[in-house]
Amino acid sequence: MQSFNNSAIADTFDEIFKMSVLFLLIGISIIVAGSFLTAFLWSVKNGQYDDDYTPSVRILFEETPKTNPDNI
Amino acid sequence: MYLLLNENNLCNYYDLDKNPGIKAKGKFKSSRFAYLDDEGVLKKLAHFIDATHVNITFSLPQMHCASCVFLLENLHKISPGIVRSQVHFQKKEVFISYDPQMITLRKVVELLAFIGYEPYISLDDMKEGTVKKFDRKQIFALGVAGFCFSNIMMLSFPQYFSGGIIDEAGLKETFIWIIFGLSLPVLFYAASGIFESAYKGLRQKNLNVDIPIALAIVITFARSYYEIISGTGSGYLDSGSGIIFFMLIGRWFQHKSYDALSFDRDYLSYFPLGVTILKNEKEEMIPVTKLRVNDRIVIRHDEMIPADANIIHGEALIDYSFVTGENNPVPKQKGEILFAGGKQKSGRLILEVCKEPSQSYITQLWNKETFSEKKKFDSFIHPWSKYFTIVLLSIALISSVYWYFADTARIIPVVSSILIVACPCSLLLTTTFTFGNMLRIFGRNKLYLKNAIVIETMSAANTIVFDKTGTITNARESVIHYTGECLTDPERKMISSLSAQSSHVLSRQLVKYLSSGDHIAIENFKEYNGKGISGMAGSLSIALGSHAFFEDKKQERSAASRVYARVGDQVKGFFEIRNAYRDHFALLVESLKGSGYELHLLSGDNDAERKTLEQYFEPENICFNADPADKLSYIKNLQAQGKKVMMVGDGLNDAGALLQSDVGIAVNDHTSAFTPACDAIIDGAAVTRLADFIAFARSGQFIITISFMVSILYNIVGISFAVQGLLSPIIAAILMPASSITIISLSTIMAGMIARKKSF
Repeated sequence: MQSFNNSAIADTFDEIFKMSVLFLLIGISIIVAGSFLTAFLWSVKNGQYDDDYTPSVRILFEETPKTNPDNI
Repeated sequence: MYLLLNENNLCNYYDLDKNPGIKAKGKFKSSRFAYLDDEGVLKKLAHFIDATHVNITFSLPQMHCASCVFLLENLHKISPGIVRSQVHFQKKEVFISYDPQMITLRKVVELLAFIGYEPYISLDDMKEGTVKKFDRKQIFALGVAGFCFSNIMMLSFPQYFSGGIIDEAGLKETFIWIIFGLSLPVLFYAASGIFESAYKGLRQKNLNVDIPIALAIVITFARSYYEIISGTGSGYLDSGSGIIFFMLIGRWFQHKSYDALSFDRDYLSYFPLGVTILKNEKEEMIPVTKLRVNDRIVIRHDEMIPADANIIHGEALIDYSFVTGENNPVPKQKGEILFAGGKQKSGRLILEVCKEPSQSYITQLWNKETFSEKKKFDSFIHPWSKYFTIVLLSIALISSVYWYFADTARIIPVVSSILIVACPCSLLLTTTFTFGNMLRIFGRNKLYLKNAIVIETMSAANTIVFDKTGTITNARESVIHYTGECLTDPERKMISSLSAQSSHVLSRQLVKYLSSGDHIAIENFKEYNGKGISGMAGSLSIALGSHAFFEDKKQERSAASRVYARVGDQVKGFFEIRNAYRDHFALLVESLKGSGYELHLLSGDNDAERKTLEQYFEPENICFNADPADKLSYIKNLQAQGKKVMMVGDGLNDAGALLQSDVGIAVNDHTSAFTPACDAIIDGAAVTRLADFIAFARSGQFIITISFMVSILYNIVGISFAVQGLLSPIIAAILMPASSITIISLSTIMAGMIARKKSF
């Protein structure tokens, strides 16, 4: 393209491009980290940290068929 | 093992399922929970009530294993009225949601009692109606601080690595402003707890450790914000938020709570909830809170008297061990006043209430000054920290004078950077991590401390007061000694068989002692409440009982409980039953004496065991026949002499003394039993390790001193930069986390090493 033959314009463009990539990365990194924080806060609010023992016991119990236990 | 448990549970479950109309039977009388039918009681206990749902949480102290969880979470299969049940194992609680149209509260409680988990419902629950909620704010604050700190640190790196020169147009400013934005939640949300407690300290004119810390935080952030806004620098926000993050970790770590234990019980927790009253010749169950003067109440065998009352009808034999610690039941006659807290050990009684439960003798005792008076707040800083603050302030002053002559413009930056780098956070971290570790180590060894301050007071104590019954003696074991004519083997067998018929505590201990194998048949068995038992073995009449049972004289003051035995028509001799001292008690006394502790003994019992006890305690330090008020004033006296008193006791009769003492340790033989208000709860089996525990608490001071010296080294390095006006953000950012991490690992490793040395 013609405009790229002009070195001054290309330099400016490069400059802007280089910079905006960094800005973009910072933005993305903060958003990613922020979403983890949100997930963490949600899980706390949801009560997942309230009891750190009972669920580990509960998972070991087998589901018994709800319909008619006398059949077994 | 798991399969076995599971199978057991399933069997249990099927058994229950095959009996659809479950009736409360056997262990309790069905009227016992009648008060739960009261609408007011339901309202106070439940969290949520509407036409089809009632949500309620019960405390089930009997919960002990994984299979309990299974059974309790399958309640809906046993009883269709229950919609959902969810267990919180560590709190020993079950949340139940049921349909009030299909099942009543009383039925739910009876079902729980039937399957062996009788809910613990106390007057306390009724009064407050509040639900303890898991404190989530601490975790929120920790999460926010961690997030902000790590991002601020990351965004600060480019600057440090490039030597502060970032050529990109606008990039440096962007970093700084993002950091600025990220630091706001740290300052205003995460650190708010620190500011709150500093403010409280200021208002109470109490210099607590949070005040200098809050000051340091304010200075750090203020200076950083000033630099950022004025465009003169990037500030110390990374190290500032780092410190807040580390401190929050420290607090979270130190805050070790024992969900299933309660350290703040008062008399209300001990009293029965329901009581049977006589109204127009009919028995009716009402909540204790509705009991009024002149009501007639019915007390059955083994029930507790809820209020001071006169005896109207019946034979009373009252066990006041709960109030006074005296072991032997006292007979009372018609017309005498019975005090609340006693347990009827004989048949049915009819009483007339003369004082409301909240006015009774035992309650009055509780309302005495000590009980309402709050314990003084400990500042919880190492004694050196005072000097630390003084030295720090003088360094700041000297350097400001110096810079006043050298370069006036640099006074404020230099002084503020001194205060930033030398913030007392490392002191706080030292104590929080050391004590947090120790709390956990104590907990593993069955000494449960209320909070970390107890470690400090424990190591400061120099006088130890023991209660006798249940504390230095083991309530579950007894020593039996026979005096009198030799018993032949058949005679022993007869006595053993006779006592096997009775459920009295003494009879059961006797059976265990005699253990003559199979029993012979006893005919014509008779039990005389509070006196003795008799029966016929073949053609021979035999009897067992107190001295008064055989002779009409008043009961002689005996060393311990004595059971006389008559075979034929001749009294052969007596069995003396004493509580056994805990194993290794002599060793404990020796090692405590060896470390220079002054030992005292308070007993609610008579002085029968004086001889034995004088082997362990100085004669002038033993006090018998002490009622709860005596025990309390005894402790007060010791404190008036300037002694730091540790009280070790159990039961309500020690409650006053436990609260008055500098460290009150309640002894608990069953984890499901309840303890009075105290600073620490110790498992009965661990009592004799008390000397080790105290030694460990003392070594905590040593650990703190060492970590403190290390943190001072870091401070010297930091301040030496600061006074020269050379404290760059990068130095602060390296020094602060480095010192925090060193101190955390140092205190953890040292506590672990000392604990291992003491074989904890």
